[in-house]
Amino acid sequence: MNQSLARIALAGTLILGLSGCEQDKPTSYLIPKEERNVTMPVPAADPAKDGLSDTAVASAPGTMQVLPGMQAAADEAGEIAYTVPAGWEEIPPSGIRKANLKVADENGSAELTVLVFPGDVGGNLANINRWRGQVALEPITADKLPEITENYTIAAHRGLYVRLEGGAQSILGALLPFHGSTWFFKFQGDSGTILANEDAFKAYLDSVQMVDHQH
Amino acid sequence: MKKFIYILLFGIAALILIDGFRATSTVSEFDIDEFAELPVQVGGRIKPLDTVARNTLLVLSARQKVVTDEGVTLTPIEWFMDLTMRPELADTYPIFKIEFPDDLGLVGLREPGQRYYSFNDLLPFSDELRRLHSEINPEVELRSPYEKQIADINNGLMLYHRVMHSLHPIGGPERLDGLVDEYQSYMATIKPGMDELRKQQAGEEFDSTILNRFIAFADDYLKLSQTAHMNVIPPPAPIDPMDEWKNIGLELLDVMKGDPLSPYVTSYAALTMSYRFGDTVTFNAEVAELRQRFISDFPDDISRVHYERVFNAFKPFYIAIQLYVLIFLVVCISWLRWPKELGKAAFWLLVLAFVIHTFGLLSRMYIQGRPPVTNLYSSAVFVGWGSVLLGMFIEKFYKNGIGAAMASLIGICTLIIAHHLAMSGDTLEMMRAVLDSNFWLATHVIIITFGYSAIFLAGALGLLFTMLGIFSKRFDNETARSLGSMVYGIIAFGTLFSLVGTILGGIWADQSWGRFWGWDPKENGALMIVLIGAIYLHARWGGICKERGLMAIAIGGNIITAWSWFGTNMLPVGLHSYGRMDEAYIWLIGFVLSQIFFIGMAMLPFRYWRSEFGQGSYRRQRKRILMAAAEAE
Amino acid sequence: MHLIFQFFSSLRLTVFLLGFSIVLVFFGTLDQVQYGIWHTQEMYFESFFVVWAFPAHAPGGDFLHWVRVPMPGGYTLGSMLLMNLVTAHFVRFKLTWTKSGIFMIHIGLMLLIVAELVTDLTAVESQMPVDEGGRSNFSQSYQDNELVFINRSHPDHDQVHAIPASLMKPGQTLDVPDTDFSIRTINIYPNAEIGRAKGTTVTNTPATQGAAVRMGIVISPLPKSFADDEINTETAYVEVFKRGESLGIWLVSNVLDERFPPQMVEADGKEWELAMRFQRQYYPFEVELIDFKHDRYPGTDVPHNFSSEVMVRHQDDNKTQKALIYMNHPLRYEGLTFYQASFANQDKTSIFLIVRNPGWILPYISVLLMGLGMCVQFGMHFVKFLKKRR
Repeated sequence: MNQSLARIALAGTLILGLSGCEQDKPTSYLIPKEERNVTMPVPAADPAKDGLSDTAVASAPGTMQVLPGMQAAADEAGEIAYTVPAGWEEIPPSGIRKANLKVADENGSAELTVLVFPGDVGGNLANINRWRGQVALEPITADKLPEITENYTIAAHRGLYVRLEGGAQSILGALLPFHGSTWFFKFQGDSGTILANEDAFKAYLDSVQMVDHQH
Repeated sequence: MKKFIYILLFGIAALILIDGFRATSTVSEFDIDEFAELPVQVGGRIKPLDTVARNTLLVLSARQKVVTDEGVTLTPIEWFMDLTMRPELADTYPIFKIEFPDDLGLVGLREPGQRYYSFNDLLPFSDELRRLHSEINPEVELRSPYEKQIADINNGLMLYHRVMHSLHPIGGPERLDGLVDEYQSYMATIKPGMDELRKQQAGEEFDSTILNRFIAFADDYLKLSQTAHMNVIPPPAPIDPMDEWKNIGLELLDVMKGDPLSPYVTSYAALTMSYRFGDTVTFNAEVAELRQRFISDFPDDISRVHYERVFNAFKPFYIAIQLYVLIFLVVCISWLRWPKELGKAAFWLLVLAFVIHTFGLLSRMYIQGRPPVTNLYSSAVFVGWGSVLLGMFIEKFYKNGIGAAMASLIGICTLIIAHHLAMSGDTLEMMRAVLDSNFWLATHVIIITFGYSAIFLAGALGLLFTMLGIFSKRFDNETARSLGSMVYGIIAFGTLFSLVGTILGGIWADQSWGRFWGWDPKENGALMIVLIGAIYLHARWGGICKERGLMAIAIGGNIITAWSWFGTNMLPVGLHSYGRMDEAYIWLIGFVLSQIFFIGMAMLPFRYWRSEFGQGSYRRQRKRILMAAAEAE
Repeated sequence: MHLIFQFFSSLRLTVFLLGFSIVLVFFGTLDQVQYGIWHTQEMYFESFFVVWAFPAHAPGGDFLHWVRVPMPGGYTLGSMLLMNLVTAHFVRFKLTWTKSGIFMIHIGLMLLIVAELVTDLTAVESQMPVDEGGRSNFSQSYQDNELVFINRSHPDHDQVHAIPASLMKPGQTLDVPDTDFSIRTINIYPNAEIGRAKGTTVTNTPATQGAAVRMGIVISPLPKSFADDEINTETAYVEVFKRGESLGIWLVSNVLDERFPPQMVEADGKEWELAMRFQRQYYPFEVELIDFKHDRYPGTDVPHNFSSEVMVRHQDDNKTQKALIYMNHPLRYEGLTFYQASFANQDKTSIFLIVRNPGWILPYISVLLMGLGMCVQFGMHFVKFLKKRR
């Protein structure tokens, strides 16, 4: 009596086990027409997990403070036109970013962003020191500023060009005061890529055209 | 004589209680109690300033008082008032607890015998501290004790800074003395400043002095809005508890949009100024007005906030610990002399302590609006409560002091554990989304925690059995048997509850993410408790173990329950992981080793058991061996 | 025979098995730190035998890494406990009222063990990410991958030909179902790092067609990751044959997803899309995400509530069903259960966990039985105890 019960139980288990193995077979099936523009996101956070983040995050040095009204001013400032250098990838502008390009080569990668803000956002020295902090360089004083900058014309207006060579990362940048706002052209990334693409960056700056109601 | 004992003991208990009641009101010319009850919003919850003060101090100093260099003792709210309104004075108070200052390698920091450091002590080293902090391991769980200390100091300084700048803008004494005037001039600057800004953007001529002054204000308040720790400005009525309050900086910035300045801002500024000038009349009037405004805006919450402040001061769990210590001593003495009187006194003291303990639990439920167990701290409080409840029942049935002794022992241990768990901040924190279900919190969590209580009580009785059996001559068979049946009853109870609790957890998991059993560490821990309970029961029913072996299994239950309760939380994996638990790790290992030691003691051959019970068992053992040998021949 | 029954029905065996279970569960918990829940479950609880090794990274790992603890696995203990319980009942228990409580508890327990086995074998979990305003009619596996050929030439539908990656072994040739294609797996890696080659010429790649050649991709194999939040990049080199004739060697990988242009295989004037992706399950309905809410407690980042408002449209019935899915409140639809699992893209995408578990009712029946049994059993005991004290 018990033996036959045991045999039945064993058989049952085997059947169950085999039924579970059905998933591993090649199949073919029809599906409704798909459009190929869905991106699979990587989950940002698992709400079921308990994760207490370190609450004391010191504010990162050199971040730009977006005052209320800056976004609105950026929206009013108008668009720019430019030529994308060969081999660079363009990403659609967003928010206060008026342009966003990327380039990669054997030395690494780099990104160019264009932003505009009302006023002078603290002045040239403050902004250049902020960029210096982002590539791990010490801040400088106003008297040293002419040594690392040069005048540069962008969209027929006078701007300031700066080359900041940090260790691993570097920045090539340009500041352009333009009728009450300041445009920031920042090209930042791995030093090798940046320096190899300096000509392309300058060519990009030369190609920039801006809508100008004043003249 | 008997009467004297009762009077003495209840006198002591009364003193303990009165001490607690006294702390609930502060006598001073400033209406400190009223100030302490002003509600603010921190961590998603509306709470009195008193709670913020205590929690901040606990995080920084690991205790709820400040002793200045002159020897003056300050309560948390007094310290908080100085911190926010007289920061130049607060910077001199030694409140940062640093256990191992030498490890930091900061020359000149350490004073011999000093464990608490003031902000001014640390200020010269702030660059160095920041540099050290940038070099430690970013993964919180992988940090060494040295790195953890650095992180703690940095976090503490950050918290100190943020709390200091919660009621008004940052600044030195001159600025704080003229806050109301500053706000007035800011309000006056806004319109002209915005006009100049518009002119500048349009490329027209503008007045740079006005514009710069305006931008200076805006920059400053922007920084303030990013720094302030508490939200002190409630939104205008009608108010939803889920609405986010604004902090001072944000409110000041929003005035630029054209909203009127909230009266709370000027009230806090007036409070600060009057406190600095020692003007009690204005201060008390301002506090009363603020309080009235809160009452009209939050008619439902104001009584809860008031209750929370009183509860904070009364500290029922500290009172309970003191009572439990008293009870334990009384029972121990009762085993030597005056057993009936002391036994009865101990029982009634236990009831009193239990009432206070229950009061604390119920208060927390009222303040938080949740079932009693919502986090590790509250689980510790509840485990103690459960054990004391069971212990009271045992004492009522057996009347030999054992139940009272073990109950008070567990009460002391769990409340001390809870005290240490409170160091991380607000213990009445909000529940994460997946835990946000009062039904399951009230059933699954409570039942499982009650199971812990029972297993710990059984384990404690096992320890007692072992100690008495080996060392006490008077431990006889009858006592051994009654202990045995106590443990049997409690383990049966505990296994039942653990099994039911685990199953409820499975159902909750099935409703939440479709998996009844996921082999999550906490689930596994609960399963292990059920398994050891089952082992005990089956071993007893099958006669595989006699009393001594069963007691060893019960002590083993302590190890498994400690693992399930704390060990699983320390693993950085699974749905129940709470992250860093540094010193707790050492305590857990220590506890486990101690229990293994006791199991070893229990397994000592009966020859070494001094008690009547032990010697009797030894003689029976020898007789059986002799009989078996005789039969074999 | 009698001896065997005595052995299997003995209480000593029960105690031993329970003891081993504690040991197994304990080590199965410890190992989750390095192997993650899924893999540990396979190693410890879905096996017959397992050996625990002291992890090299744990404190003391330098001295103790040689420590090994062998123990019986979950299937062994489970089946032996089952047999122990069943035989004990037949050999020793008489069916009386006083033992009815214990009977119910034990039967409930047996059912629970069986229920777990059934779940192990038949339950399927997958995930479905949907963007706000977007729709999805398929879900994908967390762990398993498939190689697919997709024919999009028909105007009304697409045809998918799928081969599970678990069938692909190096050197083996497999037929692609319902086509003239067959593939030979040159090499397959459970996890790999994919990148562009340094320099202008691409060396060391067997690929002759597709993205690998066009973008100069090279790979380096990585060990499989068990961390819960990391994805294993299943990658392979496959040679595609049409009626025995080789069309070239492609590099396929599940990281080459919809962000990249599709790799195409051309034959007989027609084109097929070739890709490696997480195994998909298509459904005869679409789930549209109308709105995803991520409520936080005011002034904090602590989540208070996640909820997704969805509309489910079935292709046959034209019956649309609106539902709100949030924590502890899933949607049950067509034998599937949709849980709010996660989110992404700054609260613009909601991710559902879909569970098909035909045996879901078994644990509930078992729980009911055990509950009744416990009430009966302990109730009787307690009454007896009270009577004795009076």
